Amino acid sequence: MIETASRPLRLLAVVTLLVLATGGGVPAAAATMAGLGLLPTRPLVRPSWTLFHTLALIVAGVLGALLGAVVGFSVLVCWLLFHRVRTARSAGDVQLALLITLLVLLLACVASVSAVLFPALLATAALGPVVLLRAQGIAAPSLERGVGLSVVLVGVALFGVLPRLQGGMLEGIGGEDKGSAFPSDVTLGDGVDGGDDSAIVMRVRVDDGRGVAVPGPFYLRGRSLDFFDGHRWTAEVITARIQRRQDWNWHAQILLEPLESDVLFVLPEVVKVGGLDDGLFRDVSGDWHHRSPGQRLGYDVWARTTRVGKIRSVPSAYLQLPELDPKVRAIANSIAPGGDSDQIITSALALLSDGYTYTDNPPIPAGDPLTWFLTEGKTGHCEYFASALTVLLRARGVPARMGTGFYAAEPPDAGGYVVVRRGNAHAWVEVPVEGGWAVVDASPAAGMIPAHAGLWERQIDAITTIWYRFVLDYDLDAQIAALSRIGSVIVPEIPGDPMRSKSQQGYAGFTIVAVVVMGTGTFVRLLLFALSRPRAQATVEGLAGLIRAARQIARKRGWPIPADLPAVEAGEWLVHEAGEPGRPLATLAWLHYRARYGGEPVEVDDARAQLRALKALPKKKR
Amino acid sequence: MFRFPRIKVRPTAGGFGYLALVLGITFGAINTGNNLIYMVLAVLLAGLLVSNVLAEWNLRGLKVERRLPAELFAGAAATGAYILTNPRRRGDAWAVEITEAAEGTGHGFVLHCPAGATVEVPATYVFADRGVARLERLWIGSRHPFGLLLRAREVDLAAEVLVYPATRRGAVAATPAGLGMDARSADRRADSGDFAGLREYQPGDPIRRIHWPTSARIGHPMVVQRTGEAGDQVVVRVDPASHGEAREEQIARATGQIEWHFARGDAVGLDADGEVLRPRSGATWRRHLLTTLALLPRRG
Repeated sequence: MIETASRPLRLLAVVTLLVLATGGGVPAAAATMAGLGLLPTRPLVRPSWTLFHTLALIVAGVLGALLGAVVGFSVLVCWLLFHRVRTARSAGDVQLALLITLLVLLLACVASVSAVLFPALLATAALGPVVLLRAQGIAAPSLERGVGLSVVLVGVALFGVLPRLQGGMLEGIGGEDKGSAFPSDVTLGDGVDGGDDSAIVMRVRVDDGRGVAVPGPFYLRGRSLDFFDGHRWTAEVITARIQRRQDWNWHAQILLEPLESDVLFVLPEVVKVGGLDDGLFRDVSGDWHHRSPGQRLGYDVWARTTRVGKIRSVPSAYLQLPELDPKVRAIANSIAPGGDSDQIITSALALLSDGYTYTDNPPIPAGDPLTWFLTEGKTGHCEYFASALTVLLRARGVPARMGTGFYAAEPPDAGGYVVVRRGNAHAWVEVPVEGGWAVVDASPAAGMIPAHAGLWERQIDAITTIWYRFVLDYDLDAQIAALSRIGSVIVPEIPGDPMRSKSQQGYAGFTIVAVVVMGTGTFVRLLLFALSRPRAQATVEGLAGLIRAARQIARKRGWPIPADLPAVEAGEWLVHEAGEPGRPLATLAWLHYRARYGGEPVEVDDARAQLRALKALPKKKR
Repeated sequence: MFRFPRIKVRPTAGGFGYLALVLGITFGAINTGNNLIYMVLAVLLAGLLVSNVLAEWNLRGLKVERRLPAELFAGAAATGAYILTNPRRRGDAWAVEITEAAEGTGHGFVLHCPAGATVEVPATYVFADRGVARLERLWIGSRHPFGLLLRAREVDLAAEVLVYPATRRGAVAATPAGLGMDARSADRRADSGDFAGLREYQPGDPIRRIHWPTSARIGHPMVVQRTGEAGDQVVVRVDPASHGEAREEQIARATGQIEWHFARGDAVGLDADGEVLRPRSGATWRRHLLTTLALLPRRG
C-alpha cells in the first residue's frame, strides 16, 4: 500500500521543496538538494542513515548558530523530509512525511510571499488527501478525486471566513522583502542608484468613481520639495494652506509594496485617503505619510484633476532661490519677457525641449550642476529637468515646487492594474492653481518610456496582483469590507451616514455568511443522509403493479399480450413477438416470480429500471 | 428503550501530530498575521472537516452480525467472523474495524465493503476465562479516510458464548476406568498388541514409543500406534477439594487430558466435584465433558 502512496508523496515533497527554493538563501540550497535527491533515481550507494543524521544535525546546528534559527531549522526539515520520503515503509511513515512536507510549506510561507506558493498550496490540498488515503491502502480514483477537490474547496472557503485575529506576539517573523527606500530629498549631481529597475513598487487602478477605468499615465506624488540650495532639494516646514475642497473625479486603488519609507503615494490633487486604519497623517506641504514603513499597504485615494491655469497665491517660500549663476538668470530672463505665468510656463517648457536630451546617466559635473545642465551639458535625467524648470519659473516670479514620486505609464495588466516599477521613479514640477497643484513636466517623453513589459510579463503581473489583493492583503479590514459588500445586497446605504451604513451592512453580511455556512453544512448532511439510505425493497404487490404497467406499455405500442398469459409467459411472448426490446418485461416478470415464490429481495430501482427500458419498445408495424 | 448510539472519536498517533501542527500553525497565523500561514491553516482545517464528514458517512447504516467460532478455549485465539452489511445505495465503506466492547475479546478488519454488499470479516476471538461469556456490544469503527482519527460507533449486539477451560498439559489426572490400573500400567498396555500404524507425536506420549527412523526421515517425531492403545478408558478427575488458582489450573489440565485422550481415540470419563461421568467416546460426549468443565463452579 505504501508503493501507491509513494509517488504522490514524492511529487508533493518535490513541489514544496521547490517552492522553498524560490525563497533564496541557504534554505533554498538545502531544499534544492533535497528535491534533487527525491527524483526517482536509484541510489548509487547504500547510505548509512545514522552517519547522515549526525552530519545533518551538525550542519543545521552550525548554520542555525551563524545565520539564525529559521535557517538551521529549514536545513534540518529539508533533510528530514528527504530521509522520510526515501525510507517510508508504513502508513505512519507516510503520515510523518506529510507532516514534514507541511512544515516545509510553512517555512516557504515564512520565507517568501511569492505567488508560486499558490500552486504548492493547491498541490498540498489536492495531493495530501490522496497520499493519506493510499497510505491506508485505499486506492479508489473517484474517491481520491472527490476528497482532493473537497479539501481544496473547503480550504478556499475557510480561508475566506477564518477571522483574521491579531495576536502580534510573533510579528517580524517572515522573509518579506522590506523593500528599498524612497529618498526624502533630491541631490543633483549624484550618481544613479544601481538598483533593480524592474522591481515592482506599486500597482494602481484608477477609475472615474463609477467604475469606468481611466487610462494613464498618472503621476503618483510622494514628496513635494520646496527648498533648493543649489545642489539639493528638501522639504522645509512651511505654512501652506491645504485645499479643503471635497470634490473629486478620480478614484485610485493602490497596492503599495513594502518600502523603507513612510511616504504614501497619491494622485495629485488628493482629496482624501481611505483604507488605512490609523497612523495616517498629512504634513503642511500636503504630503501624506503613514506609520507602517516596510509593510505592504492597500489603500484608496480620491483625487481631483487639475490643469495649469491662473496661479493662486501661495507663501513666498515657493519662490525661494539659491544664489543663481548669472548665466542661469540670463536664461530665465530670456523666457517670455513681459509674459504672464501661462506664457512663462509654456516658454520654459519650450526652452527645455529644444536641444536638451534625456539620459539616465549624465556625467557628474564638477561645479554647480544646474548651471552645467542649463549651459553646457544640456543632458540629464528628470531631476535636472524638474530642477531647471522650477528655478526658471521661480526666477520669473512663478511659484513652483518639485514633486517626486512615480510616473505610471505602463499599459494596464489583465486585472486592470497599472504596474509601477522602481525604474518609473520620477521628478516633475508643480505650480499652484485654483483647487490644488498642477503638474508641469519638463522631462522629454523619451525619458519616461516605461520599462518594457511583454504580454507574458503582463499576465504574470496580473496574477501577482490578484495574489496580493485576494490572498496577501486579505486582512481583517478586507474581511469587514467584504462582509459590508455582501450586506449591501439587503441593507441599502443610509444617505449621509456612511459609518452607520457600513456597520449595518457588515452585520447583515455576517448574518448572510453565517446562514450560508450553516445552510451548506445542513445540505451536505442531508445529501449524505439521502445517499446512505438503504436501497428500497419492492413488495410483491408493487412488482405486480409494475407488470400491469408494462403490459399497458406493450399494448399501446401495438403488442397486445393475451390477458390469460401469466407474467413469465407474457414476457416470453413479448420477446418472441417483438424481439430483444421486449426483454425487460420478461426480466420484470422473473423478478416478481423470485420475490413471490422465492422470498428474494428485489430492489425497487432495479424493477423500475426494467419498466423504463421497456419504454424503448418500438411500435408494431401494421 | 431507545438510546443514541455512543460515538467515540480518538486521534491516532499521526492524528496527534496533525492536531499539534494545526494548533502550532493557528498560533503562528494569529501572531504573525501572515495570510499565507492562514492559508496553510485553512487547508489543514479543511482536511479535518472533510475527514470527519467522510468518517461519519463511512460508518452510517453499516450492520454487523457475529459468527462465533464453534469452540472457544480460554486464553486461546479462535477464528470467527463478523458479517458486515453495507445497505447504502451509494458510498462504499472503507477500512472498517469491528471490536468487541469487552476489551481484547474479538477484533476484525475489512478494507472495503461496497455499497449494497455483505462481506465476511475474519475475526479473532480471545476469552480470558472459562464459562459463559456475555457479549453485550461491539464497536464498529474506522480510520477512514486519512488515518488521523479513529471514529467508532457502538452497536448493541448481545450474545452468549460458552468458553471451555484453557488446555494445559501437566501431571496425569486420569486413571484407567474400572481396570484397577494406574496410568503407568495403562501406558504399558498401550505398548502391547500388534502394530497398528504410525501417528504424529502428541505431548504426553512416552519417548520410547517414538519411531526414530521414520521421525528422522520425515523431520518430525512419529510414534508407534498399537492395537492395545485404542479403546482405552480413562476417567479424568478434578479434585473437589482444590480452590482458587490451583483449582483453575487443575481444570485446565483436566481439559488438556480430555483433549489428549480424545485425540488418541480413548473413551473418556470425568470425575468432577464428586459427580462421575462414565467413560464414553464421540464428539458429542467430548463437548459434554468440556461443557461440564467450563461450567464447574469457581471456588475461592
